[in-house]
Amino acid sequence: MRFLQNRTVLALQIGQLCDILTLSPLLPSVSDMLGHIVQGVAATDEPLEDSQRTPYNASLVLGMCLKSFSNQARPKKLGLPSLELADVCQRWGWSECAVDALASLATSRLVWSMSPFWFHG
Amino acid sequence: MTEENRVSLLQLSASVLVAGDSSFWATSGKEIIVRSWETDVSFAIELSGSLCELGWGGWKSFGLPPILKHTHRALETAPTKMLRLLGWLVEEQKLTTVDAVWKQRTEGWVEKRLLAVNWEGSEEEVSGYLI
Repeated sequence: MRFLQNRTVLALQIGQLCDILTLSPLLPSVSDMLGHIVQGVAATDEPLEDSQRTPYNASLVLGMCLKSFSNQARPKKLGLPSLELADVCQRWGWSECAVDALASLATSRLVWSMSPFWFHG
Repeated sequence: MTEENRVSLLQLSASVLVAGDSSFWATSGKEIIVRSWETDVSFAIELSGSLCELGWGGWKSFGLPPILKHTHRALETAPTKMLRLLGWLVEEQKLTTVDAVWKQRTEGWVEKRLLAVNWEGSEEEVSGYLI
């Protein structure tokens, strides 16, 4: 399945998501919903081709959500099985946005709740 | 109201409020803000953003309270604009504390919003968000 097709709608959605993530210090439950978005976006078919079509692409959303997770003052469980994170690494390794967010995630305190082998999957 | 008149009214309202003193803010100034939230949410959001950006002295007492009071109605009628205003206020540290009721209602709205979007879905499923 391709990522959202209507680029105008998508730009608007991403804009709204960006503001919602900014509000997360006031709204702690926002972080609990990020796993749902990450799972949906991570399932995008042909993510590289998707990113070449427009700057408003799945890798941007994935990076924003993972980055927001890593910025939490009190990190909670990511809500994704470690194997899926490994899959994210493999499928999105070409994306600067996604890799930057994964690096932040790995260097945040969240690293202690992950298996040291999650990135070998 | 035409777009031209709208911009002029926005500039006039912001200028009058910034130029006024605290006795004006507490009377007519407050009335301008309250009326704008009651009659035109989109205009009220723009006026609030302008006043905050201008560093208006009455912001904490007269600018912020109506935003918090009308947040949920504004999120329903002009979600993109309202989210931008709230996000910007947080970035500028003009909105640092909220009460439990506001938090609960806003979290409920955000949750509904995020879960309703199929993040790998088709445009039909998200077209309702074009506001």
